[in-house]
Amino acid sequence: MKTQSSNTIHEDVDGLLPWYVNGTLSAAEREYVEEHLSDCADCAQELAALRRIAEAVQDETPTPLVIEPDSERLNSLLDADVSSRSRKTSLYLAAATFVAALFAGILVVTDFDGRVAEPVVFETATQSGAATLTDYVVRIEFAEGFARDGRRPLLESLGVRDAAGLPDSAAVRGVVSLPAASMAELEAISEEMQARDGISSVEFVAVQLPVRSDRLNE
Amino acid sequence: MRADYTAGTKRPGSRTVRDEHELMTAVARQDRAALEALYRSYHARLFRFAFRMTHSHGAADEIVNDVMLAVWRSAGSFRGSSKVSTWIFGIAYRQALKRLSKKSLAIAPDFDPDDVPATENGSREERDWIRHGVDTLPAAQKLAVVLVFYVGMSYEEVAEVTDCPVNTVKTRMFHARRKLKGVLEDSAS
Repeated sequence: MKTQSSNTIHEDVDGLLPWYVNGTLSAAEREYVEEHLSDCADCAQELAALRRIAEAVQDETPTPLVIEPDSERLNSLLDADVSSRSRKTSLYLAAATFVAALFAGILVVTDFDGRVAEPVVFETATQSGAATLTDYVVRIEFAEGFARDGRRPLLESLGVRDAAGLPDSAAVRGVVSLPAASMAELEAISEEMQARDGISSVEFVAVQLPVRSDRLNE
Repeated sequence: MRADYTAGTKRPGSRTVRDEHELMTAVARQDRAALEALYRSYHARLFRFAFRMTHSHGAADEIVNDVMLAVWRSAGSFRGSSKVSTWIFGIAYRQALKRLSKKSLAIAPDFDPDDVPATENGSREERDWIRHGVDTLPAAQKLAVVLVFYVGMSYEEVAEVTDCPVNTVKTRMFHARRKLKGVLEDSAS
């Protein structure tokens, strides 16, 4: 019959057996386990069973490792992740921007190079002063029957750039740089844009942040 | 200039702890070459682990990709107090646990036990019984068995990977062993 102390050792060793089998015990622990094993038939039996279990688990390799590391695929995953995170950040930023813009100054539309465009100036009621420009993605739908050759000049006059699909698409998404604007201010700007001949609707869709491709691919 | 991390990828496991910590620092700076080096170094181990848990190449492949994406996103939170391998397997563990909790929906096994060849020690039938027994264990016990016998982790590493005290790891192994021993006895009768 086992004494209290030998019972404790027995339980202790029993708990260590899986790691005795996988060979990750320290030298001292291994010695401790082996000393007990030489004297305990139960643990020796348990060890034999564990070895059979371990062998069965290790042996399950009819896995033809056909899926090799694929760097190209990894990179496309990262690309997708970067743009997805950028979109999420854009939404957060948009929310923050709208709040900040309650105190924003004059809104101006810039041209392709970031210079202030002459033809149109959108203004807000509060303060004036230079502000960091933010790129907003805007969706513009042309009025039905509006001449195709007039579409590009119209967008340029509004400071909208990077619109794909011109001149054939009836609705395009482009980018316009503005100082931070609130939702109400953006709505006012879109109404002002909408009032122009040739435009059926204007909708601010998102804030666009630059993807840090310079860091990712250096 | 793009750093060259390819040296250690020729012999998986040949990196030193310091090499791997440097790689993690670089990944935290969003260095793709460093992530790719880790990906190449860990792909086979992670894939085997994920396949063992899911029996599905597709699911295992997705887990590996999810793990690498998580490494990419959260390398900055790696503090260097643990081994990189333990940290990465911790992510893999959580991904596998997530999958196993909805396995009936997400995993289509493509493993056929009949493909397993018989070996000298123990019959194929017994091994099939054991493997089936492992698959029917609760997820946490199954993961413990796989981390110990398949990945070959120490109890401290399993505790770290599963974010549990060592005693919990030992208890999970104890319950798993008891069930698997029952399976062994059933297979013998």
